[in-house]
Amino acid sequence: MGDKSDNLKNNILRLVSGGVICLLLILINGMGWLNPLYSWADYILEPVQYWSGEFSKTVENSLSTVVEIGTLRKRNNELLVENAKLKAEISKNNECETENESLKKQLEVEVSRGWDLKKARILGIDRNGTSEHVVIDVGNEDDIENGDVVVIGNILLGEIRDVYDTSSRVRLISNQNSNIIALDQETRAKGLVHGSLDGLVMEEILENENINVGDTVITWQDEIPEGLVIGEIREVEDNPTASTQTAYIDPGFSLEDLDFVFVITDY
Amino acid sequence: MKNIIKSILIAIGVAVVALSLTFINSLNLIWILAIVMFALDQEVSAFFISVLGGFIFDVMLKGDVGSTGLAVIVGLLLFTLSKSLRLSEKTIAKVINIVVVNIVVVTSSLLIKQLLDAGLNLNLDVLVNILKTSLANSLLSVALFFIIRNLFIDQNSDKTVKV
Repeated sequence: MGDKSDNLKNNILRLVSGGVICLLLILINGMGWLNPLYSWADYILEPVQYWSGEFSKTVENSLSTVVEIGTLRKRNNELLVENAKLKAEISKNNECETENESLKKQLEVEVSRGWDLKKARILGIDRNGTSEHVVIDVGNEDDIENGDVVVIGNILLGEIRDVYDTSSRVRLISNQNSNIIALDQETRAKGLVHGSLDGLVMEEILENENINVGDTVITWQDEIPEGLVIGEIREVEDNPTASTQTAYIDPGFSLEDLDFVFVITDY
Repeated sequence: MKNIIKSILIAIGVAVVALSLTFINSLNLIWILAIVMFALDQEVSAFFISVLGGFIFDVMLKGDVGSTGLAVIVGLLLFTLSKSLRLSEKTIAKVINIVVVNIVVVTSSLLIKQLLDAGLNLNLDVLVNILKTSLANSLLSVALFFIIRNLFIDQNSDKTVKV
């Protein structure tokens, strides 16, 4: 009985001291005193982080392939049809682009340049509730700055929030603190996109604006390159008493499928 | 001393592997292993996994350092209370405790991160998210509990876990 009582006291003492240590770490981190540690830790842990992530994704892909064979076959057939349609559209767009460039030159309008992109690997994903971030393996040494936009192709992933020597923390668009002015590409309705536990939400859409399921939502904000795809509208909330409209968006990417992302360092 | 060194090394290893599991939605190996080791009466290992492992994990994710460890500590304090009231002596009781503690840890983690980021925001969606995450972590916790117990602990003696 005495032993058990001592054991209990030791446990409580251990846990309480652990709790105090954690609270102190939170406080110290909040003051920014741990930032040198982040940079230092990268040099040692980054290769381990990357390879353990690759292993995990390989295992998950193998398992999910076996489980989802039937679904994959059906999806593959759908994608073949969609691919053929898209190829036809690309061909048509190429013609329009050539004609457009020619007309711009004739009007002596400057042709827009491509973006400066920096390729980065994802080292880890922090998703707990509505605070979603990823850590990537580029930082100060790669001329990355706070506020730089992170994309996959033409799809917006998020924004750099914290930069260290060789890594950075990206706040995803699905983070509840991420507010982006956006536009429905088809109807030109404007709204504010942010994250929530229901996924991406577009709010503050005027009542008289049209928004439809299937419409593409793009960025429309000074600090972010215009025209980046945020996602596709999957549901429009039906609330006759509300003075503005709300739509829910499927993002254009799935975190689990990403290996590389790109940081726009200049546009 | 040897046990403490082993516990420190395990905590570091767990933190690195835990980061790879972030690519698989919702699973947090720090929570899972700390709870499992505590359920197996390996309190020292649980302490190092939660504090040291949690610290390294948060440093690698570059955010809210200390939050992972604090969330686990809250859960383990509840577990200690349950043990002191002799509510976790039978296997089935231990399993129920593991599930309940997982729910407490997930809830604490969510609340701590919300308080550090943007202020409290509790609604039905948050509760559903807590249940989903807790279920995923609980399933793995219970599975690991039985695997480690059957592989490394001799039920008929007082030998400790050989990890």
